[in-house]
Amino acid sequence: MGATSKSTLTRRRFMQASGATALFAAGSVPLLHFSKAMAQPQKRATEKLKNWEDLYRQRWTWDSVAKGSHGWANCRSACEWDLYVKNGVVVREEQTATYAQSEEGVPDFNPRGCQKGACYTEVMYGPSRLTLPMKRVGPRGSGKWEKVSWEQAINEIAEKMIDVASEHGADTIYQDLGPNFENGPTTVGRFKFLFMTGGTFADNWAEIGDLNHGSSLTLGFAHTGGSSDEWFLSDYLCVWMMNPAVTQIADAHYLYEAKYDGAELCVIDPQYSATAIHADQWLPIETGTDAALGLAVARHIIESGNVDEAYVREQTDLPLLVRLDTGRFLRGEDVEEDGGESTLYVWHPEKNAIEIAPGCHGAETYLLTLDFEPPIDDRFEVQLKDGQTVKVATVGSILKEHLDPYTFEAVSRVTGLSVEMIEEFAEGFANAERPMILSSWGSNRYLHSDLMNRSKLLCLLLKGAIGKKGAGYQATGWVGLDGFGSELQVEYSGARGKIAMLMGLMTPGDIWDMTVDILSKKKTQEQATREGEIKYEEEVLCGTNVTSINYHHQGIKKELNKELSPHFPRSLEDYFLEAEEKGWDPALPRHGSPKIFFTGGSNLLRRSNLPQRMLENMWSKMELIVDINVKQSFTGMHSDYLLPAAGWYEKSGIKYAMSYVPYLHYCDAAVPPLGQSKDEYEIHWLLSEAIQRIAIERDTPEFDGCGKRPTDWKTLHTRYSNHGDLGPKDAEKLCDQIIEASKAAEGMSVATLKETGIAKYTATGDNVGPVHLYNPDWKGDGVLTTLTQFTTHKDRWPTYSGRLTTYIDHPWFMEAQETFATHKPSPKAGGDYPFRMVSCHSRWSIHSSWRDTPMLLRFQRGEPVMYLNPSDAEKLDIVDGDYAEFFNDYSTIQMRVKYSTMVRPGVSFYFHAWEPHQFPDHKSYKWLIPGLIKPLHLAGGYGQINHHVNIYQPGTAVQDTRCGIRAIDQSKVVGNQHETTQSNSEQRV
Amino acid sequence: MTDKIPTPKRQVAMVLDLNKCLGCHTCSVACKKLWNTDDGTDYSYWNNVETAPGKGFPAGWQEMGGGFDEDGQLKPGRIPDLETEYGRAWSFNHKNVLATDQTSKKKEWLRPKGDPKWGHNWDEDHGAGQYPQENHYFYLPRLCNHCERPGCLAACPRKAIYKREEDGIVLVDQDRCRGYRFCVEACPYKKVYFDYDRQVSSKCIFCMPRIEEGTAPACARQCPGRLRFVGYRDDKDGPIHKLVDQYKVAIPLHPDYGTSPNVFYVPPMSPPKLDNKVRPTGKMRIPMSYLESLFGDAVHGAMEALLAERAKRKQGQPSELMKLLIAYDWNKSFKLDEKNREAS
Repeated sequence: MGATSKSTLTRRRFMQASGATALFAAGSVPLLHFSKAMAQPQKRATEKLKNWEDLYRQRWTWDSVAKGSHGWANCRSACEWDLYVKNGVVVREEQTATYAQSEEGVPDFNPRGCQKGACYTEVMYGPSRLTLPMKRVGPRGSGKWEKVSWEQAINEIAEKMIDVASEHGADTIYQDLGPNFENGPTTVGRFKFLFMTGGTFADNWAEIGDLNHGSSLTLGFAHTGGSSDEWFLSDYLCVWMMNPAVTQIADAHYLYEAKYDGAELCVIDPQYSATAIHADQWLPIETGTDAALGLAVARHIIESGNVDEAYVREQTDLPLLVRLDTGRFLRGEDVEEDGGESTLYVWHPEKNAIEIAPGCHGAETYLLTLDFEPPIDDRFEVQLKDGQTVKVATVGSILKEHLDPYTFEAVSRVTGLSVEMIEEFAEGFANAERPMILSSWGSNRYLHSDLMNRSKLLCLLLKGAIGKKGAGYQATGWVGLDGFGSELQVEYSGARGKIAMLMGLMTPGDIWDMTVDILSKKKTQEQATREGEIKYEEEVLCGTNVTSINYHHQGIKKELNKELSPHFPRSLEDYFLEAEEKGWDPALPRHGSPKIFFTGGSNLLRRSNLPQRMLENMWSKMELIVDINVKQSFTGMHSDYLLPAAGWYEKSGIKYAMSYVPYLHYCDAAVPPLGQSKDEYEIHWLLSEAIQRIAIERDTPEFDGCGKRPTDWKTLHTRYSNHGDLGPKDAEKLCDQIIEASKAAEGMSVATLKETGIAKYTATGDNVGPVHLYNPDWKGDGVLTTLTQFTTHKDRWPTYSGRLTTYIDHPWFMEAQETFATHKPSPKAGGDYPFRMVSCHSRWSIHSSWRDTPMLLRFQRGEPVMYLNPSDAEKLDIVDGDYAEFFNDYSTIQMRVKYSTMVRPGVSFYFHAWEPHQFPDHKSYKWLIPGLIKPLHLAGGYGQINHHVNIYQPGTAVQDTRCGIRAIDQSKVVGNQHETTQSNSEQRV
Repeated sequence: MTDKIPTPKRQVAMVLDLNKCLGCHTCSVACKKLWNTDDGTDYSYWNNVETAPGKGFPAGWQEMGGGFDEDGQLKPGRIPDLETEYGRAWSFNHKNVLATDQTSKKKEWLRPKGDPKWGHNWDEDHGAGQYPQENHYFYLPRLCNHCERPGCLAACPRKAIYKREEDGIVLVDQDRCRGYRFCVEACPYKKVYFDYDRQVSSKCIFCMPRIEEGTAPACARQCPGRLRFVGYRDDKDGPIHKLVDQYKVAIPLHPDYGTSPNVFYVPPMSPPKLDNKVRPTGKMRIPMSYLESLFGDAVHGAMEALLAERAKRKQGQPSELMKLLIAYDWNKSFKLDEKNREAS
């Protein structure tokens, strides 16, 4: 019984080993190498111990502690850690847990921080860490590298960049925006370098499936949500397409605490998720039918008389008048000679006539305030300017008709839920005081996710819950650190840089017009700011989106057009052509495919759909691929240069500013960078210096960027370094400049943050970029609620109508019959196969970070697994743990199967972000996923419907994918080398 | 032999509220990083989280014997198998995958060496029952129970295991231990591990050095689900006394093992079972009979108390118990004394 060991290790050896464990924890021997200083453990002798218990006491010791976080992880939480340093190595981390209660009666945030944060040391000192600059010497992906000096790597990359930009244009230099980025100096360095070279920034919000189009269509922005302690205040919590127990570990406790405090906790999920196990109601809904459920609830709210009418009249488009002959809004141009296109109407019951809708863009002011009660469910006749009389109806009355088919019975048939279950859920929702829906980034991965989220938002707006404390829509908001955005654009430090930047963007006339508009209440300050930002995107930034680049260059056009043709009136290509023609699609780079790819903040080849096509068609045309990274990734394996970046405990940074926990989280450098690694700010400093030097030598002419602004590489470094003010080791100084320039970080500094690690934000920041909290009154006190700018201050919403939007009369939406949220079935992407491939973010990794970390792989099965319900697996004759084959029209891949009763039968469920090289033949499930593009997301020219970073752009939907599954002979796994029991005995234990 | 266990002056204890457990295993990682990264114990998890129902860690531990019979005699137990019941700390082939020729036909992919048969979280989220009517699971974090009558202590012929007088923490003296492993057999919770390098037994020390300075154990203080409470049994104002003795909502795991644990659990509520027409029934998904098999008869009273107090909050009435379990001020979940350990 039991295993024995023939180990001859002595007691003394144990003492030595225990000191070394932090570094070589459980066999994580670094791949490339460590600097020598790291390898010598401190010797400890038993003689120094007084009794044996001291052995353990000695283990809980350290030389120093620093405050740190995992700023570069694309994790939506933020948490601060004490980093314990012993012998120059961070040996372990523990949460600081110094957050305060936001207000009386709300639980505090402590301790925050999950199992991944508790072992980032295992990644930083792990087997895929990079510590030396490397250059590829075999074909791409061959795994053949040679060590090179920084000088050689930097000079060769600089030379190549000048060659390529001279031949193809600077906009063929390409980088996607993340998603691994923070708000500190290293990311400023990365972005500033690209910005100043005139390269193409490609937003990947939608491409990775995180962009909430439904929210953008309804509210005018995608990222909305307050602090997570606000969840605690709801009395009807609906977790709807989210799994906080797995993906929001630091915040999930609020759900269960709210339940203890009397809230009803409902989880709508085809899987019996880790969140659902603690719910009051679990609704095991058929995959992809959430819109139908939402519409049944909305119908019930109206039918049961639970609509908040005052709110709906003031804040939503339900009282707006629509022409029944055209189905379009009644507009100023319909009724008056000089009437405007953006002038919309409501009915004035006392005047018995139409009235310009308060807050609409044709109204006198942006205020939504009403002094009468326009009907929301009525029909009238209106005389047009040509004398013709037409019937008009309020949006509310058409909505009622639209919702009519969504009875409990009908929706029961679509969703697979019983009538009783739907009724219980709808009745609870309709009668709740503060209904709240949690709908995460992951809720945007169906072709028709926008319809699902529009349905959920419809339920909330009928209840007057959006913009109300303790209620509403939680879809992840951001606090604005405007210093991050400005520091990557300035060419001088301090005020001089900012004024120059602003003047470069706006003429004095523009600034005057903007001021007049704000003062006369024609435009809200946010609207003016946002118009400035749009102008910046249109006239300065070489911005596009990854989906468009992939569509044009990945070699997937034919397939995507075929996939989508049954579901839309026109072909995808047709929509793309019209979008380009009308200037709705940025169409960058202008000349051909990207030629230089900088990566490191992302793992493009890992996350892309059909990577086989990307390797075949895009990769082969790239002339230079540089991975600036802490660790080896699949994309890195297929690059030309690997430049080792400093680990996350080895550089200064600011965790990106989520509103879940409204504190700035500082990342201090606890130890110097390992080996020859350097922080990204310094790496780009060196690159820009080399480029400028060579450009001067070669007298390189100015490049025209992407045709918007010329860029002179002979001054690149001068601009990057703020005219010499920033040296290569000045990351901390730059960090202070970012903080200084951020309104939400008033009074903070790197020096004080080194002591405290965190500091509570002092405002929500400007509502620019991804930031849309819209609470001008929050100054750091109390729960961070959102959207009060509209509901309390009565400013117009940033939508076409200036209101919360349920009805869209954009011609593309009308043509596709998506004026209202509606239920459309999920297509069968990849072919007509029996299983739906559905994914969730992983408990065990933040995307591919931590994915290959031995300590955490041992908490799993060491390899990627596909979760199947045991009843399905048994029918397929697949044993738990065996490799099986997954296939569809695109490819066949092999991976192991794991049984789980949480999985809905008919679903092939996986937790995402495994590296392809963790699968046999290095083919991941991504080889099966085409990534459907919804053509309507290419639309433009309609208020909130316009290409915009973080708000609106085409994306790819992965959850509609179908596959077949079959058992395979385990000896036939591709590339399997038969392992004997001998290999077991080679292991250490 | 078992009668001679001295009663400590005070007893430190822990309550885990299973209604708040996320299954994130931060506790296990926190514990492991602090205490168990050495070669000989790398397979062991003083703190682990298992999906219940399931085989757990080590696989099938509930069937391995140990503990005491009704007459107070030690029951025979067995030592779990390293390959098939604990599972090794697998090593991996990063080096070969990241730095070898990937263009050849026989690509290696990143995976554990050997052919793993089990791991400490092998049956994660497996659960039991037919979807969607009655499929169910919950997370069960486990650590040494620092029992009143520790089976391990009773079984050790070397008297290498002792229960500290000042706080009741059960320790294996690493100097005295000779690696006989009677303790591994005798612990019915299988919470004593054998260190294969040093050839001695090792187990959870309830973060004794931290307790000595008034800091909660790493598994408790690092728990983002905020489900652990730590304090002394005799502290009437502390969370343990309130949850265990006053409200009686926290109960030990397997009281039938006869060791009188000092780790207690608030049993898990669950969403309703559905009938064949997918209609909610009045019964919870996790069968009470299953909970009873884990926690004994006391689970009924604990569950009733929990549901009754929660119902009060649903009706807008105050509930001290709910307030306590919510842990508004998280620091109050831990009530320890800062003691000045004799300087060594």
